Amino acid sequence: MTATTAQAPILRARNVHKAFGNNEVLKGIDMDIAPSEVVAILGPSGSGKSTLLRCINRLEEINKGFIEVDGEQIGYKLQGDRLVALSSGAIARQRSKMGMVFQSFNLFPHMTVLQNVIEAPVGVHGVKRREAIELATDLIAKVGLADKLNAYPRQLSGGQQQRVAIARALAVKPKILLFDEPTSALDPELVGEVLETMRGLAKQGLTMIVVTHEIGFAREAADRVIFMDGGHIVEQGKPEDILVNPQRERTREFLRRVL
Amino acid sequence: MVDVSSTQPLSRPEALPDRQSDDLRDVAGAHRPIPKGKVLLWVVVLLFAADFARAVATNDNFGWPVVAEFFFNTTVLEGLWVTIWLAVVSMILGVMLGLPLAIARMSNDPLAKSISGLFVWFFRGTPLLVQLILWYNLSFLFPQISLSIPFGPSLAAWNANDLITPITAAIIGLALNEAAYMAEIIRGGLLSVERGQRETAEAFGMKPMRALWRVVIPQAMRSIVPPSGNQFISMIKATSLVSVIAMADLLYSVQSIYNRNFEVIPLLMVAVIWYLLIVSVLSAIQSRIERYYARGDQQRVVFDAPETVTTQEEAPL
Ligand SMILES: Nc1ncnc2c1ncn2[C@@H]1O[C@H](COP(=O)(O)OP(=O)(O)O)[C@@H](O)[C@H]1O
Ligand SMILES: [Mg+2]
Repeated sequence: MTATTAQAPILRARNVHKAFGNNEVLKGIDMDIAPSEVVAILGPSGSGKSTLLRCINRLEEINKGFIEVDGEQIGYKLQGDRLVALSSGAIARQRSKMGMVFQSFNLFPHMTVLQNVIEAPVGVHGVKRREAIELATDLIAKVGLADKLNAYPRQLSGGQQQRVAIARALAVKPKILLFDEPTSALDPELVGEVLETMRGLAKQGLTMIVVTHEIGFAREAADRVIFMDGGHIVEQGKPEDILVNPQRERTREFLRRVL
Repeated sequence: MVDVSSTQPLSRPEALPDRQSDDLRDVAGAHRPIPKGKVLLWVVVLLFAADFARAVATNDNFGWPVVAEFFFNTTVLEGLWVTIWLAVVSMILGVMLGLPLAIARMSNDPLAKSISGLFVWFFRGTPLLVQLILWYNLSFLFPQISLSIPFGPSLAAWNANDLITPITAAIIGLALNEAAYMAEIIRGGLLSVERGQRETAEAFGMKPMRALWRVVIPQAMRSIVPPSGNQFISMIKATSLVSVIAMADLLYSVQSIYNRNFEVIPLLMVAVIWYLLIVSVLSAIQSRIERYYARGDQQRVVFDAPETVTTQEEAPL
């Protein structure tokens, strides 16, 4: 669970800028994530947290700087001393190394739970159907939904849907798992089951970046907390330091509001 | 002021602990009176319908014996067959062309966008009858049709008169017209799918075409199928226009018969009944397809959900 700084980072972001028209959303993000590290990103609404995650798997294109995952620059390739934009096929291949869990679950509604989970392994990673089904059945059981294999997403509660979404993200054996406020769309009594599943993953040594408003989760499960505001990383460090004894006024003010 | 307690005696506390009346209040045993107005309306409508059916059935002018005589006539059946395959082939070609047109129209590529827009604009904007006649008379506009490098030498050339027969003119005319309408129907369907679905598919590393095929289109089908059914039914009837270019479809066949025996109305009735039969079969097929694409929408928990977990979808029928 604890990250060793000696290892090469699995993700490197350098001076990442992103603007939508005139609206500058990310204003120079530097970030290293070590393998097996669990990072919680906190920050007020509109501070650019979702945009940062979406830039990491290239759902948004960045304007300046670079992002590297597993030693490969996202969206571009160095050819000699020329940086060349990748084709959509090559970008798809880079994305396939990451798993993403969305605030609104985004399960495929026309597929059953099992079909949702095997879709990417079979269709993108070329895993044999039989193996994919075996792994998927296992993962679905691990998130506690063994009896829902053949149910359609609309027949499940929000918490169940989000757990399926987590199983779906795990099924591609991702180098890094991205969570964008995975519990924000859930009824309060369903938040616990999803956080419990995520704590389990953190213990297993998965690399996770979790955007969340659940301070409790950040304190217990994260190795590091990053506080973002206005497109900057304002401060970061161990949960016990940042959450208990924040140095910056903006962090203190945010924590006062959410706690 | 009205004395409430005297006008509504049941609301007084002493009327409440009455066991028997509580049992009577159980809604499970409630009677539902049939609205008298509705019954009356039913009777009137059914009477009118029955009378109309009788008037049609007993009217000698419809010539029902003649209808029966010609219903399975070889010429009629041949015409029926032409109508069906012409509609099916044109529809298939229309969908095959309409899909890329819809995708092109939604793309960011300005050239693809405008070519698709221009196509839809022209083929929706002019009468099908005129298009058919133009295709049929293509040899008048372009006597020679040749395959060539743009502005360069010709690779192969054909005489337009050999290439354009009534059949090819009918297929090209109907298919291109159909493609324009299908492009718009498909585009509407694709737009109806939530944006997050495509993004999710791409976030998992699916290439754009795969995301479209596996995630977006199956969901778009819910809103594509009903207007397409409508469109196919229009197509069945639109095939009757090809009789102007001497294509022997159902209508043309019955016309050729009544031009000889002058039984105009009975033979038109033969055509009408056949058209209605085709359309009924189509509607039944359509509702099965609709049910198939609605499968993720059932709210009740289904444990009889298909055991098959194929990624390749099973055929809808
Ligand atoms: N696709 C987009 N187009 C234009 N503006 C966007 C888009 N996505 C996000 N934004 C803007 O970026 C800012 C940051 O958004 P977001 O990253 O979602 O913040 P957070 O997730 O921290 O709440 C907001 O001001 C939002 O309006
Ligand atoms: Mg957000």
